[in-house]
Parts: sequence; C-alpha cells; structure tokens
Amino acid sequence: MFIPLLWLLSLLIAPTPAFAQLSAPQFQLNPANSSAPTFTVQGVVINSVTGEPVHAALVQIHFPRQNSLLTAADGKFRFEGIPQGQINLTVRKPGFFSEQELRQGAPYVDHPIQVGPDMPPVILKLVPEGVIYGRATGPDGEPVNNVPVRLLYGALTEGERNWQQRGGGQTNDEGEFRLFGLAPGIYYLIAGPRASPMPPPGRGTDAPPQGYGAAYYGGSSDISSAAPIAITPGKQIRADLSLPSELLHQISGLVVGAPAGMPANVQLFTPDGQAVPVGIRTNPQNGAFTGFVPSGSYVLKANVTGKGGLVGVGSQPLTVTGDTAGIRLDVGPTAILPIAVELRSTRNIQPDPRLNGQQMVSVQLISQGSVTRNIRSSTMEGPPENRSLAIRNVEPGAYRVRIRPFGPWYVESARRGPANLLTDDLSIDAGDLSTPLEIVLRDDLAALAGTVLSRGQPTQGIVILAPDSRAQAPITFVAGPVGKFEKRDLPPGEYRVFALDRVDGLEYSNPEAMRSFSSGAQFVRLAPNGEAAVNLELQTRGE
Amino acid sequence: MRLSIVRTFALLAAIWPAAAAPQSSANQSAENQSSGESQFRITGTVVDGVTGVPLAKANVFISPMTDRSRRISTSSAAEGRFAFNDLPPGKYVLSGSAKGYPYRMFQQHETFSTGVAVGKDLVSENLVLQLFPLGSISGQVTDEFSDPVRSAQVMLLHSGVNGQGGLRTERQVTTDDQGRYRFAGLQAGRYYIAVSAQPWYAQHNVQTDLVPQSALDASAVSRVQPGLEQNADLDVAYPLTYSPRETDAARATPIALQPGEKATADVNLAPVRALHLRLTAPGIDLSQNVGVQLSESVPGAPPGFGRAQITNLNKDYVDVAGLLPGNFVVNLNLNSNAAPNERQTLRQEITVSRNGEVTLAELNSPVNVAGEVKVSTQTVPLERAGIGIRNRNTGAMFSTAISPDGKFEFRNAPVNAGLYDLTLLGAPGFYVDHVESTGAKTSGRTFEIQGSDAVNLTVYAARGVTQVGGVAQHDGKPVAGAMILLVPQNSTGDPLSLRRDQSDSDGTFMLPQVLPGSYTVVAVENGWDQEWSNPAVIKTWLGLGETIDVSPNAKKTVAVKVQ
Repeated sequence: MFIPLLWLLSLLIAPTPAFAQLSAPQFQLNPANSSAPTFTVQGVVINSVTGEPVHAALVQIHFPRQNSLLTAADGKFRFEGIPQGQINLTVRKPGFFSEQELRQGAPYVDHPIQVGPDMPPVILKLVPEGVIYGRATGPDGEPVNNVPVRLLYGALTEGERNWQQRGGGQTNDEGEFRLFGLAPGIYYLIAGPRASPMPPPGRGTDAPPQGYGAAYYGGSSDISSAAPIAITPGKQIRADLSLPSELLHQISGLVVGAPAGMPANVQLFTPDGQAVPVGIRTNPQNGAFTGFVPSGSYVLKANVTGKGGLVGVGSQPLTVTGDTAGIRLDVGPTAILPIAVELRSTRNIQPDPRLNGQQMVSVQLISQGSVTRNIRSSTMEGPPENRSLAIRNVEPGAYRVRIRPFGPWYVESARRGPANLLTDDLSIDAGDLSTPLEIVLRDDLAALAGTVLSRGQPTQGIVILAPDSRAQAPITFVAGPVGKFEKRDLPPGEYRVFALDRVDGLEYSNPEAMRSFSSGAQFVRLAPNGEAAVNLELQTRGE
Repeated sequence: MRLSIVRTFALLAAIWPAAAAPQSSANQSAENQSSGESQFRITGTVVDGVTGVPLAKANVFISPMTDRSRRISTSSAAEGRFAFNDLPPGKYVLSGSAKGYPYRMFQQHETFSTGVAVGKDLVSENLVLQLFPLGSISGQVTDEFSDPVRSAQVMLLHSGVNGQGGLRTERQVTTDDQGRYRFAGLQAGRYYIAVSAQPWYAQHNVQTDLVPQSALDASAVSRVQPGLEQNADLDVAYPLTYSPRETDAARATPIALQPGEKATADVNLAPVRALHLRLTAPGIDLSQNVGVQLSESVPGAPPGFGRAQITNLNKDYVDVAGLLPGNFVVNLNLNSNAAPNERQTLRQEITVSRNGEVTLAELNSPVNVAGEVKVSTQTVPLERAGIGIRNRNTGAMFSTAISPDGKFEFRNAPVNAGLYDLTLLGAPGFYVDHVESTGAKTSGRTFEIQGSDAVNLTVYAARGVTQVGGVAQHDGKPVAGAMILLVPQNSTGDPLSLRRDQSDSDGTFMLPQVLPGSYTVVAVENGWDQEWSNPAVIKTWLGLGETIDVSPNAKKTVAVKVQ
C-alpha cells in the first residue's frame, strides 16, 4: 500500500465549506466544557426517488468537531449535544449521489439547518445512481467478450454541455457489461472495435483476421444516428449491443522525426476525436508501428513524451479499406501559439512588473465541429527570465476562444490577425502559428444592482448574466436571503439577465436552452465604469 | 517436451472461439511427401477429460517439434476419431480444442506435454487426447449491513504452485456496484477467494492514546484543522477475508474447482477496530517529500499491502491509521522527488498488535550495482543479452541489459543488501562461470551485498552450455508423460534452479541450455501434483535418480528409472 500525501490534502480541504458558513461566536464554542445549551438534531435519510428510508447511510456534521454516524435500519439518525446555530449536514452512501454532488459546481440556493429549540426533524435525500448494463453479441448471436465498452456523457460545466468520453471497461467472458455510478443525464453507449493482432489458430497466416467493428447502442456506427440513453435518478437500463463482424486490416508504418531515445506512442482516433481502443504496437527502437483495425476513416496520432512532458506530436488522417503498409507519420516539435496581452488601465493600476502582464489571463481553445471537445489551456512558456503566455500543441482546426482575466480586468478585444475572437471562431491552419493571439484587457469595470422578486416580494434566487460575447462565460451568483444583490467588477457589455430558482442540469450557456425563460429576462447594457439596476422576476423550474 | 509458447496458444483459443472453425480433414496437407519415409500415422480419439465422452468436430493439430510454426490441422469425426497420415518419422506436438474446450496439448501438465514420437516400432496410434472444459468462480461481496461492497479487491489465489504448495495471486478484480465479481476461463484446481476492502464509511481521525484530546482541542481552534471525529465506532477496517467469512488464512477453505464447474463463492465482511501507529525517525524532517509504504506479510498468503491512511504528518512524526493487527514491513521513502538511486529508505519489520509508536532507525538506501561481463577474460559483445539477479531471501528479481561494451548497471532498481544469484539472460550458448566483485562477497554465481556501498561485479561467462537428454524407463520399457527433474548438487529448493521436462511417448526427454555442473536426474510418474521443489520431497526421489556431471559443450544422455 502506498499512502499518497494527497489524502492529507483532501482531508484538510474537504470540510472548508462547513467553516465558511460558521459565524465567529460558534467558532469559539467548545461544547465539551461549556454550559451553553445543546440540542438534539434528528432526522431521516430517504431515497429521493422511492421515498423509502436508506439504512447505513453516513450522516456527518463537520464542525466544530467531526461527528459521523450511520443511519439505523429505518433510515433515522440522531445527534446529541449540538450547540445552537447553523450547521451543515452531509450524507453519502455508495450507490447514491448527494444533492450537492449532482449540482456539478452550479450555483444553488442553500437551505442551512438551524439548530435550536423546537427544530423539526431533518430530511436528507440521497439520489440513487443510474446503471446501464447489457450484453454485446456478434452477428450469430454469440457473446463477444473482452470488447471495450464506453460512454459519451454530456456533462454540464458552467452551463455548457461538454461531451466527455467515460471509460466503462470490457465485456466479460459472457459478453456482459455493467456501467454504474451514472449521474442523471444523456448518454451514448458505444462498444468495440475489438481487434486482435494475432490470427486465430487453425487459419493460415494469409487469411485476414476477423474482428468486431464498433457500434453505438441503437445499431448505428455513427453518433448522429445513435440512440441516446436518458438516465434519470435510479434508472437501471438494459442496453444490448449488436456488433458487426468485420475483417481487420493490418496497418503499419513508421514514426519519423521523433527525438532519439524517445519512443512515440501511436494511437487511433475517429475523425470526431474519440480514441479508438485498438492496440497499436510501436517498436521503441526504430519507430515502426503496426496494428489491426476495421475499415473506416481515422486519424492517426503520435505523441512523444520526454522528461518535461509532451515534446513531439504528429497527426494524419487515415482511410483504411485494406491492408495499409508504409504509412509515414511525421512528428514535429509541439506547435506553440503565442499570446500577447496588453493592459489598458484607466485607474492607474500597475500590475506587478514581474508578471510581465502575461499571467493576468487564462485562455482556452475549445475545438469545434466534433462531438467530444478538445480543450487546450494556456501555459507560461520560455526561460524563467522571459516567461510568456502561449498555448502548446495546437492542432489545425476551428476553435472557440474563452478568456478569463484574473483580478479586476475584462477583455476589451481579442484578435488574431483580422479575426475578432469575441464574435468569431479561431481558425488554425497547418503550419500557421506565428501570428499571435492579441488580447487587450481593461479595468473600467461596471456594476449591476438589483432585486429578485417573486410576485412582488423580494426572494432568494440565482442570477444569470448571459453575455453577448462568445469569449466570455455566463456569470452566475446567488442573490442573498432578501433577494438583493450588488455585483461589482463586471465586464462592460450587453447581457440578458435571468433569475431562476435553480440551475442544476440547465444548459444556461446555450441561448436555445434559455429561450423558454426569455420572457422573464431583462436586457442590460453596462457601460465602462457604468452602473445599472434591475428588478428580476424569479422564474421557477420546479422539481 | 516443453513448449514455452503454450500460453500464447491458450490465449488465442480463448479469444477466438468462433474463429477456430472446424476444417475438414481433406485439407490437411501431408508434408514432406518427397521422401519415401512418409509412411507413419498419428491417430486417436478426442474426449472430454472428465466424462470420457468423445468429442466430434474438435480441432486437432500437430506440429513437428523441430518447427512448431508448421501446423497441420484436422477435425475429429464421429466418435471423436482423428488421423494424420503419411507422416515422416520424428516427434510431433499433438494438441486440440473444441467449442467450450480450450486449447490443450497431449497429456499437458502446466506448460509441458508428451510429444508423440513417430517412426519404426513406435506407438503413435489410438492416442486419447483429453480436453477439459473451463470453469469459473463468481460471487458477491457484502458488508455487515448485507449491502453489496463495491470496488472491493477480490483475489483469486491458486494453491500448489511452484511445487511447494504455496499460494499465488492468479488474478485480481474489483467488484461492481452489486458487489459482484467473476473469474472465468479457469482450469481445474484448488483456489481461494480473498477480499481486501475498506469500510466505505470508515473514519480514522479519532482520538487515541497517541493523540490526546487536549492537544487536538488546542490545535483545532488555533490552526483551524478539521475536527476530530467523535464517533470512534467508525474507526474500523476489514481484515483480509477468505470466502465465505474466514479471516484466518490457515483456516480458509479452498475451492476444489472441477473441470467446467461454475462455482459460487460469496464473501461477507465484518469490521474490526483499526489500529494507529506513530512513525518517528530521529533527526529526519518527515514533512519533506516523505512517502510511507506498509506491506503486510500474511503467513501462507502472497505479500499484500496493508490498507492505511496518514492522519497526521509533521516534521517529527507520521501518524498512520486504519491498520489491523499483523506483520508489516514499513518503508519510509525519503526525498521521494529525487532520482530513484538517490532516494533513501528507512525500512523496518514490525508486528502490530495495538496502538503504538515505532522508531524507524534502519537506514536502507538502494545499493548501486554495476559491472561488466567477460567471456574467458575477454569482453565479447553479447547482443540483446542481460543480467538477472535474484535475492535468495526475498525472492526479489531485477534485470538489466548488457551494453555493447559488456557493461551493465542496475539503475533505478531498489537493490538492497542480501544474497543474490546471478544469471545471464537471453544469451543462448553462454553461462555464468563465476562472479568476482569489489564491495561484495562472492561465491560461484552468487554475491552478497552487506553494506550500502556501491558494488562492482565482474561476471565471467563461458561459452558452452549443454543439453541433457535421455529416456525414462520402467523395467526397461519407456514411460511416457513422466516428470523429469534435474536437481543441482546441494539444491536449495529454489524453484528457479530446478529444471523440468515431460517424457515423450517413446520415453525420451531433452533439457536444453543446462549449465555445467553436477546434477541428479529423477523421473517421477504423477510427479506433477507433488511438491517437486520441496527439498524434503526431492530428497526421497534422489536415491533412484541418476547422478551426472555436465561439462561445457558436452551432450549428456542418461537412462532414468521411473518412480
């Protein structure tokens, strides 16, 4: 057993939300030797779908001391000797998500528990996870074992759906698979291909090996016509897969240009960027590679990793219709897209000269035109005395540019050559990386004040500022207990402003997804150094 | 005869069940027909090894032993009959597979089989090729609440490996959300199922006699540390548990898996109070790049890792929680960010039975071992060859390549003090004559590292390993399928120093690449299931063996009585 030091870190970090919600007097309380009155906190843990009690669930109070217990057979829990004040109760159990986990970082309106006289029992909900299980069979109904099964999951980050590949493992000897721990959402299931570089026994070496091609759930080989699987809490779905039998073709070639002594790793991808799980063997001595793949269109990529990370990359489209030998995969040094940042301070803010103006911003390139998105983030490059911001390993293609300034700055403009990246995609052509990405930051920020109302009464709510600029992420925050908010340091510009009761599972970066709330939205134009005020009617999404 | 690539074939048979389609016997190509000697046959029956029922439509293969890549296949007819006609004399590997029956060689034991000798006055007809269906062991792991335990490590231990009745972890899987696991494609044999898991709810940051309440109260307020867990009932761990709920390895019940059996083995876990250890190392700042490794040694079980957590770490001590009573080796790796050969390790063997403090004092930094290989005092390039060393006590093995100038170095390898056996790897025709050294005591092919100083070895290699062949006989008649064991003089029972073969259908056997030296050759019928590397067992066999002296480059032939 190796004890990672990270464990300690996570222990230290995990309970911080509890600290943050404590006020100073409670912080000093020491119930062990205090005569202050204490109370009993009791309640029940239930399954959010069935309403049934959940036994052996871990309920925890994290402060002032950690107090944990497992619920009884009837789902009930009871903490004695808890001082008056606000507490944070968490609950978890394998097979369930807590409601916090399912928010995926989205803002939410908190309902803290007030400990005191006559407090009602607490009801904590656990959301049962989803499961997709089934069997992979071949054309003759035979079970297909050892075939890789994976999911594409549309995760929401900052209100934007990002399709992520999620490993699922392999089918067992009976062709069965079981993918569990699934959060509610939309999934695509895909299995295969299963290629084996060795011919089966009893066959001559001249016979092409037989394998299984890839198939999405629904029988399609293409995601655009695949059947999505909707997982709701607690849903267990059987999804059997039928894999086509395919001839496998041998592809072989040479990685050219890798630095001496650094072996290249060759991988196959679909044109839309998903890794194809076939083993491609590379000879570390001479860079020769070989593998067996079904017919189709692919992208072959080579990565060369040295001491300091990725040192060389190569990429090349490949259409396989038969055995293909003599493929030449050129590897070059990783391409670097330089970024120039200019600061225009109207408040005479002098940034630390050591920062060279560069570390004031983080830039991400988000690949467009494919299902799964490839995201490249900016890093500091160059020798310590002359650091500059850049993005490494940018492949040709179209990208959306997302820019996040640190501190009280906003993006006035972002250009590359003639392209305005606040409105247009960034297009990178092969071999064209010398033109820098030029970003101008300003500090004449604006402010927005307002109140969230429900039938004329101020109320709590989540405020969303959806900007006009594509380079800027929506801004979300919780309007306090009485519905009032005052937000400073906002980038000037035009916004649609919404107030919702909850935003979990909502694609609020997508104007289409927000269309149904547009009637209650306010349009706000914030001028540099300007201030504006809005009253927002709370729109409810319900359970 | 021995086939080293048998595992590859077995794998293929498992991967390609559908592809191994029956082929008609008409397309078997009789080979080497130009010779008038092509007049012999291999015939027989394919049967289920358990029931004896003949298997039709089985794939049957033969390959000449001198060229295994040439394979002739046929398919068994009704009553499981097969025949290969017009064969030139020689030895052949006979094998087969069928639907639901994995690839198996004729009279196969481990990686050995009986080769079929074909020729004048040799019996190669009416052979019985037994195939055995594969079995599986599956089950569910549950906890004290009867809830399924997910992500539990389930180990399949195979008993009776290496001829010493020991256990080997054959495979390891993790349970799914229903606590289920499955090991399929298993040969018949004795297995154990062992589960290592942690209670998912365990809280080890509790008050103990090592961590006084007063000290934590003060620090919790002043340093805003996470609170101390109040509920000591959750400071628990699961011991390594054998199916169905045995925590004492000595009392665990093996699963005697029959061919083709689908066995079920559920495991129920019960928590016990976990222990806390405080590790100190005087004079060493433990807060800097320290890694702690605790490996548990359970008698009769393969070495495993204790499951534990660091609950506190500062310059004076490291607190480790979540342990259960047992014997551990503590490795405290200092400056773990440094290159492997610059790392230092404090190593201590401890027995944990209650909470306590352990002072680590034994400094154990890896020893830099390097050297060069000389063949008869000259440096001869040994292409693609390597040096392997094995610690006699711990069994730890390390290997490294020999560079074109004959030099080698064990870089990045934690070679510690101990007695090592040295061998040449990948250098057919060469053997290690003896080793000389500065920094280590040497004797023959062994060297002993005592301190932590660098060790420089000179390996004197010689050309001329030899082969030992012969015939296994009983009352003057050849015996097929006997286990042949080549025992070096003064054998220590190290399984790696013993060589085995299986006698072929004409009783003959052949052990290539034998190092010069003195040996006793024994032949044991049904020796495969015995503890063939147990020195006490070997001793009972030596009396009927044949003692031989193998000199370099000589081919030795010996007739051995089968016992």
